[in-house]
Amino acid sequence: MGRGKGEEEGIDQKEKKGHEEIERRKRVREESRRELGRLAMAMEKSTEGSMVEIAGIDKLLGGGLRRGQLTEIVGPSSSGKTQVCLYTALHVADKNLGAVMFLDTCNSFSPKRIAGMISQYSDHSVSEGNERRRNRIMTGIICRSVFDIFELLGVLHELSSASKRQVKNQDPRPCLLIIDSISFLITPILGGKDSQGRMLMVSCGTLLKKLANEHNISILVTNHMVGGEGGVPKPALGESWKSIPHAQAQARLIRKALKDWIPCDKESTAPAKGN
Amino acid sequence: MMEISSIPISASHRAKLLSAGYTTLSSLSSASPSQLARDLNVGLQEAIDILKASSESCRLDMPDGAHEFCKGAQTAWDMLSEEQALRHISTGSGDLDSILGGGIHCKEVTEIGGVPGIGKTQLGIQLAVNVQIPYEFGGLGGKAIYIDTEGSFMVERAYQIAEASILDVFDNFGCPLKEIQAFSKRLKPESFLENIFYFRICSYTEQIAVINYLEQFLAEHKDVKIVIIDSVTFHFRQDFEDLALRTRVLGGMSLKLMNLAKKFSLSVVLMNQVTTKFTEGSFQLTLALGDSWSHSCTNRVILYWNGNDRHAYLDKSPYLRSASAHFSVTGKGIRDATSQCKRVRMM
Repeated sequence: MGRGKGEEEGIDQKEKKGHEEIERRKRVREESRRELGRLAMAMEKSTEGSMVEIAGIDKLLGGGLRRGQLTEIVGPSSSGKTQVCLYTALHVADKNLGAVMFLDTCNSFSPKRIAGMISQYSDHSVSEGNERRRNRIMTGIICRSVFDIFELLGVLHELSSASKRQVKNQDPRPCLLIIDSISFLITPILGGKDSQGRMLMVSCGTLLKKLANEHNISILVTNHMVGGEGGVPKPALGESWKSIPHAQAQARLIRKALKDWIPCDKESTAPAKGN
Repeated sequence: MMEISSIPISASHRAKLLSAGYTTLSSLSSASPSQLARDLNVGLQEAIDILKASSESCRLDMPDGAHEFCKGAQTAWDMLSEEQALRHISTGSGDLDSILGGGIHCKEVTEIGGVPGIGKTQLGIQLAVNVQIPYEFGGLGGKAIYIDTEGSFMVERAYQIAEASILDVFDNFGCPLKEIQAFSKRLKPESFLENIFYFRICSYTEQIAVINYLEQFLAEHKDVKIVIIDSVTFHFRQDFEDLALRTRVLGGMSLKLMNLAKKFSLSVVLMNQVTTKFTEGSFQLTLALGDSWSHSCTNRVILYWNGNDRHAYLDKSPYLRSASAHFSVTGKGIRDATSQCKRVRMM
């Protein structure tokens, strides 16, 4: 049995690889933190009306920059959170970075919309046919409906064990997980006399971060806003959730900015107000 | 390994499990029901239920095939083809249908809000009738559930609308006379009324109860294609002192409705009222039930007055552009504002 020196070398190699991996992840985290900061500044500017290039989102939302992180998009109703999620899913599937998992709690996953966005953003420099490209992207996005916090925990556990097994499989590894919207699942159980709801929420958040970190998956969740002190809206889910996501994008900024970024056919025709 | 906290059991059971020393799933798997019942001081049936819930959670760890790691998941491509095969429920007005992308969608929850008198109940009754238009005439051929919390449903009006709808359907499709005779036996206003399951709700507890009961009812009546709740707001506005409790209850209710819509492939239509909100220094009209509720629908349509005309504005939709449409409430039901004749646009 050729053990001994060969084995030692093997272990050394593994350690070195482990260290390299840790260093790489640190670098990626730093990069994405800086990038988010830059984008936040860009978004601030964009509320004054200047356009933020789509390349900016691409750079931020593309696979490599946000892996291993849990990002939260928060915003009032109809501010475009679902649109950002759909666009991200589309983009990641397009670049073949891995499988995209979309967990839908409010029946707002719209394959029609994704198909529409694909034809809007077809890259004409690439010679792939439209039909084939659409097929490729749409089969790379997997959607599942979840209506129960326990079901969500079960799905996350399944995902975790499947990712562990997947190293042997040839199937594309999940690289992006989107939950739209996680606050819809948690609101019915949060509050009340016992703290069971909060415990479930925190364990959910911890599980998400563990999943992101261990399997190098990016996780994107959406949250809504509720009225806070003096009528100023604040993100739902409270203080316990606030510290869980690594990065949070406020849709107060997104609302205006998105209309410039993604022409997703949402015009702002204001209705006449009542009588 | 999943912990005890992840099993779907009630908080009191969980507390009892933890204090009896069962902290992991593996410790539960080796317990027998009678032993568990003794340790927790609960009945035997409850112990059996707890063990069943935990064993179901255990099964999720079993190795499965490739895509099965998410049972019930579908690719977007499959969903697209499924969606394209689904029909929409016409509202009776061609313009309103077009801003809705063909009509009210199945598998989605649509909220319709507006000031009193704008026509929410009329639209509800129209939808309950239009869902029953047979498949051969471009409809869904389904039944309707109408949950009435305000007592505004009027049978005579439903009869009137059903009658007019049938006549329009025949006109629309230019049927030869013998086909009309063949269908007219099936398509009578009385049979339309028979296919509307009506629930009258008088308190919020009844409302919660009926929504909990709907799952069983829908499993028995698979041909129901629309559930209308008119209005979902009424019983939640006056009685609730604890607003946090109201948010939780409403959140749970809308989760259940989303689940029903998806599971039974039907559409859920919720009518909502308006209230005033003080934002940015002035009072504005907004839909009732608060911020959290505004997130719990897939689509939102706001009905409003523009001078003397009724308009509908699509406020929230996953893939449609925000747009307005002009419609009117006539003796025959909801119709286009401009068309005077019986010609309804074919979809």
